[in-house]
Amino acid sequence: MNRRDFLRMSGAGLAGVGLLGAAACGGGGGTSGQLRWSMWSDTPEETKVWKGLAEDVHKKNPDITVKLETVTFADYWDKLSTQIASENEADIVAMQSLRMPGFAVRGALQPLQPFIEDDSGFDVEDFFEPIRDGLSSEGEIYALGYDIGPILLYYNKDLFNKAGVEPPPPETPMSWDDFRGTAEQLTDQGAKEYGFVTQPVFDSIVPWIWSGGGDYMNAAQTECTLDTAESIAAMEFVISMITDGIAAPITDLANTSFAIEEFFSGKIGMHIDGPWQFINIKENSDFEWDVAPLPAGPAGSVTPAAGSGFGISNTTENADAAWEALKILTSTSSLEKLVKAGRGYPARESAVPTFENPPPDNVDVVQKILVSDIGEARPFVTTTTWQETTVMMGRDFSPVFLGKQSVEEVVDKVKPQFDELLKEHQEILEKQS
Amino acid sequence: MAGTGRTAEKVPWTKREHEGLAAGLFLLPNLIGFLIFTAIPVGAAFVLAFYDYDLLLGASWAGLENFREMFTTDEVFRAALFNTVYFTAVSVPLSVVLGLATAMLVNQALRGIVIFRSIFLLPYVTVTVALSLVWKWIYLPDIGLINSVLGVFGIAGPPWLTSGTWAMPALILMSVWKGFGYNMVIFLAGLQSIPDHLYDAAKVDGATAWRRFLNVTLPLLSPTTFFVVVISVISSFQVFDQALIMTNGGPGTATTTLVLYIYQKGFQSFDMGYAAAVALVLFAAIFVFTVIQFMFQRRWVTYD
Repeated sequence: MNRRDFLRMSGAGLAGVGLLGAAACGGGGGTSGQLRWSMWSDTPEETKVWKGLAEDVHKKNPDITVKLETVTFADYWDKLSTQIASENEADIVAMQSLRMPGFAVRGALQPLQPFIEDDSGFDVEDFFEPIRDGLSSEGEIYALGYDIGPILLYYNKDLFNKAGVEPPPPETPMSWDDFRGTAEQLTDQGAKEYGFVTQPVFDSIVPWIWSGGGDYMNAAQTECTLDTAESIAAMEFVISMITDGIAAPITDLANTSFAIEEFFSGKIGMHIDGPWQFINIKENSDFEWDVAPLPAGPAGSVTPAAGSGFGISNTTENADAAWEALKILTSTSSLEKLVKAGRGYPARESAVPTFENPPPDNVDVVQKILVSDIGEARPFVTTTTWQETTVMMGRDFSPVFLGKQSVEEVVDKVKPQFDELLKEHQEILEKQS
Repeated sequence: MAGTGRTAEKVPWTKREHEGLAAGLFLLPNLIGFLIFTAIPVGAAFVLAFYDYDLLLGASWAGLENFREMFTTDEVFRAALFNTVYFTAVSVPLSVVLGLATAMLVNQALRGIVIFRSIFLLPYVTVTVALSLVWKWIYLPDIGLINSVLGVFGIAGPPWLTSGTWAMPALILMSVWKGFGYNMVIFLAGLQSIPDHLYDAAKVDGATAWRRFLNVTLPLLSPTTFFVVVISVISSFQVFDQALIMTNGGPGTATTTLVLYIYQKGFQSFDMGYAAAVALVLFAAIFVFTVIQFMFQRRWVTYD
């Protein structure tokens, strides 16, 4: 899976992130004016979609003009933190829930509750609960979502047909044993065809750890729990698929789209990724494909659900206008436009029916997972030191994906560092409260 | 000057004063840029290195804590330091020798020689990021150019960029290929400034081509060589783009260089103080190396 997209998923339960006095509705400005909106975009097509939404704001509310500022997803976070440090960030700021705790604790965004309360016509309940949680902290919501996605199992129908293997059922998640067996049947090393591919980053094994009954840290966020028997067994399960040659070997550690590009090639049976890949797979593949729930491990089919949204900067002089613009940017009609453009799964329930001509046929699976009809969708909980944690994990886990080090060896190395980062995390929370 | 009795109103500026003003004005644009984008940030880095500075949370005094951590518990820093020295120690001699060799090769009055010179310089003037992407394909384990060629000879090439052993040599090879053209150009200028009569004299004395190279070319080229070595060492110490694009510092820490580590600490982990401290160490290392080279140049560099 594309790490960038994986990271784009939401995370919630930002325990104990007390925002500094953060007075909402700062300075005057009223509900008119010129606003800056910072957003990431990696392709001209994406930029066009966002630009269209910015123009919609002006059409619906001629007093407000929104100026879109885009930069690639990878550079967005460096730029945003530099802008915040120099108090030069845009009025409307795109935020991704995995990075939410880090930015929330640093006072980047305003709590939206006061705006929501003052706005009788606004129904926040229309947003799926996992995305509201993901963009909240301590019951305080900081951003309105535009997309949401549980991680799904993508599969290449053509390869399944060719190998004469039953495709994964859409309603009941397949067991880990079935998953492994299926991958084995799909693998043809001579033809360089593999049953599965995984992005060589820690995030992509989190669904396996959860489905295996483990976790990466305890609920109090004070200790790394990767060393529990459940976590280790789950990691070994997915890594063994690579080392046993039934998942594609990792040939690129620096490409955040490695796994999805392998899947595009048509030589990979199964891959896990979010619904934001619908459009990319449609455009980049010439085979039939579909989606299914993640395979169920000892603890069931547990998937991280998440998304991104927009918040209001804490230093804006035009918070009321920003709120008006924010409402339009995340309105049902805006999200429908995003869905039609293939830009992910909508964060609002009312925008869902726009999926009329799906590939994938099994698109209903997404909603069923989101409302817990199938398996469990859990917020990807992160900490205020998550950026650093991600860098550390990326570095130290890479030899595992290459089969150069065992899971246990790496956990021995990672746990003390993770514990230290959690200690720092707690210190930052204390300092801010 | 004092007591000449001239006053500002009566006596026009001297030529010297005019030149001084002109020089100052000409330097101004560069000077302003240097101040804003180099001098002030470098000065700030010196100060920040002694702070615990989270980009968004603000700074608090940390004394020597950053340095203590760096030199005692930080294994990644140690690896990055080693990798940077490794990269420099191998890539500098290679790119200097290759630069000199190609300079001699293209230092001939042949038709179309300019084209060859341009070809050798081409990698240098191409954006590193673009080259890195191309070389990623060249290094692909199964279908990459290098392993395909090795395969013809029955050699099974390693998975270059994902191997702890081969990733660094792979980066070095690519960097030498990219960088030697610059050295070639400098050497070429050096070669062309050696007067022909010295070679003629050597020939008359019966010196072979090898003797002429050893006793005429090399000594007279030594100031150029010195310059090339100093510049190469400095730029090698700052290697970054290749490591970021081709391997992202991996596998593990196999290709994490100091500048990549500074980037990760400062911009990905918000830890600007620590990043500044590592940058300071890098600065000190480059400074010491350069001073040492200047000290030793007396032994081998000859200025006529």
